[in-house]
Amino acid sequence: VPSEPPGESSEQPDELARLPHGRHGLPPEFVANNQRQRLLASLVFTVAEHGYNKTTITRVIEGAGVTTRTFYKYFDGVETAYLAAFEAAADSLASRLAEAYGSESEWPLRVRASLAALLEFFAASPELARLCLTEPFVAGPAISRRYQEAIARLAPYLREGRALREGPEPFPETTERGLLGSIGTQIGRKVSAAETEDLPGLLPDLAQFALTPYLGAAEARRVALLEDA
Amino acid sequence: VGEACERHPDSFPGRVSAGIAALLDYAAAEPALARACIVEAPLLGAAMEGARERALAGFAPLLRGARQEVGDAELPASVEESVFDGLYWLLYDAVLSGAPEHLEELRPQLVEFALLPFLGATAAADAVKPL
Repeated sequence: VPSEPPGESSEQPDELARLPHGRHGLPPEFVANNQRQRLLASLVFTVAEHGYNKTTITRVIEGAGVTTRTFYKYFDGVETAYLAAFEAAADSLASRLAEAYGSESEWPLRVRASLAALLEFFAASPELARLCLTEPFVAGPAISRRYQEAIARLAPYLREGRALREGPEPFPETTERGLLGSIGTQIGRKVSAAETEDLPGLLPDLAQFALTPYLGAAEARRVALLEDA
Repeated sequence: VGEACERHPDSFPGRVSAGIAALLDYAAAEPALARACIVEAPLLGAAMEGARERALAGFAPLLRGARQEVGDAELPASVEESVFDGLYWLLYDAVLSGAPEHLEELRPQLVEFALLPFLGATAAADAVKPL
């Protein structure tokens, strides 16, 4: 959701002028005009610019244009603020994925549409991509576990494909987590390489990889390479 | 892992199974080192760049020749990397969940995960039945 350049909209308070200028892809949860959301937005940009380990309360409050006292009104420290930002991003992404999944009636196309939405979400906001996909591995166990939970939260989308597979043996319980963990890692690698704008180009390979266990390699490839309707 | 794979030059499922068994045995014997490599190393961020590529090169024998098993279906160029990323994630997931002493129990799941894209669901499930 692009915002207008800071300082050019009468609807934005002066404090937002300290957030990065120009268009960005942060969802509305991060750009509303209240202090908590400004702090979250500032944290997202600070983590993207400096990395989690060099993200300080001072940098976050400077970006948000609020005082230290205001920061502590909402968060205990950087980790708590990070977790709140991660949750907001995960919620926003979850609604995009649910919408994309519901836009198709056949399961393989639902998965493909959801993957496309996932890639577009992060391509639109490199800052959120870094917050969600690369920094959790750097930021310590509490945040890593939140990422782990986010992966587990997406697993049911793929698990529905079990009804389509042939053969009497059920997949191991970990299959979907492995597929999603792999997809997250591959996207994260593009983000680390500052190639976020190229993310949508991963769709065919990721879709085929995700669908192959359920459809077989040939059918998965057919679906993965379908042109958008 | 490389040595274990070499003992099964003619069997792709055997190679994957032996390589993953060797990896898990090593992790069980050296739990602190396993945790350091799997969970702690990424904490170093940019300092670890390059280490991943070296590690992947070490595991390459695991999936050597895998594409010959597929038949006519064309696989993405990235499928080997996708499999390694998934295996790594499952190990990370298990270690982060605090059960490194039970890593060896993951063997059939990891083997099946590695075989799935190449053999398909039925053959991959058959291959892990003896495990």
